[in-house]
Amino acid sequence: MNEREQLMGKFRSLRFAQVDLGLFLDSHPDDPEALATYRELMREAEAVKKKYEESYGPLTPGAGSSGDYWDWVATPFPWESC
Amino acid sequence: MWTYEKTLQFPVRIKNPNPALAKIIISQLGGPHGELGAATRYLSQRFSMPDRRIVGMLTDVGTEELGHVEIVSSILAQLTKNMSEQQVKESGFDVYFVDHTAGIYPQAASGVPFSTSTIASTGDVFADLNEDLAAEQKARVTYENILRLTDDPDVREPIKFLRQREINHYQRFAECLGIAQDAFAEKKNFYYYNPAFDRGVGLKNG
Repeated sequence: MNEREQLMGKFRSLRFAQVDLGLFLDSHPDDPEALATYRELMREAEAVKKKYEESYGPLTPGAGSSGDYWDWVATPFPWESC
Repeated sequence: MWTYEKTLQFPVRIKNPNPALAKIIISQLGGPHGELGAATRYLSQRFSMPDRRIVGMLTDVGTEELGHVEIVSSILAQLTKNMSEQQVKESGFDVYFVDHTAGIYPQAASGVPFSTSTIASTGDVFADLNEDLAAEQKARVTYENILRLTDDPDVREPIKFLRQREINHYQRFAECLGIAQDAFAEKKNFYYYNPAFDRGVGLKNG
C-alpha cells in the first residue's frame, strides 16, 4: 500500500467513525463522552484530509486550489480504482 | 445543502468483471429495499418530524444513504467494466445492456425501474419511524441474500459493510421511536394524535 492509499484509508476510517458517532449523538445529544470523542475524531479527520489534499489533490471541490488548472477534475473519482 | 467528499465511505476494488452478479446487486440501487429509496424516504420524512433529534437522525442517515447509493453504483460500474460481448450474452446481462449498455440505471433486479411506490412518508412520526425500522430490516435481508449468491471477496466486503450499517441504523431509529413515545407518554393514547398536523401536541426539542 502506497502513502496515498494509507492516508486515504486513515481519512476514511476517521470520517466513518465520526459519521457513526454523529448518529449516536442525534439520539443522545447530552452524552459527554460521545461529544468529546466526536470532537477529537473530527479534528483528526480534518488534519488527515488537509495532509492528503496537499499531496494528492482536493477531496472537496476547490480545496487547496492554486496554479492554472482546476485540480478537482484532474484527480480520479472514487470508483475509478480498479 | 450538501457538500461532496471525493471518497467512498467503504472502498470498492473489484478485480473480476461479473455482469451476472451486477444484475442481482442492482436491486440495492433501485429496488424495493434499495439505497436510493432509503435516502429518498428519510430525506423526505424529516420535514414533518416534531423533534429535532429525529430530524437530525433522518438528515444524517439519509445523507449516509446517498453515500451508499455511491458504493452500490461503484460496485455495479466495476462489475460491468471491460465486458466482452460474449460475457454480456452469456450472463443474461443483455436484457439490461440493450437499453443502458454499461450505464448505471436505478432499477430492481426484476427490471422494474426505481419507484417511490416502495417508500412511505405519512406525516406521522410513529407510522414513519416504524416504516424506517422495517426498511432497515428489509435491506439487511437483501444484503444477506446477495451474500448467499457470491463468493467473490472483493464484492462481499463492501456488501458486508452495507449490511452492518442497516443494523446500526435500525438501532438508531429504535431510539428515535423511544424519544417520540416518551414525549407522548403522558397522553393516554398517543396514536390518537398526528403530531405533524394536530395543534398543541407537538414534541419538545432536545
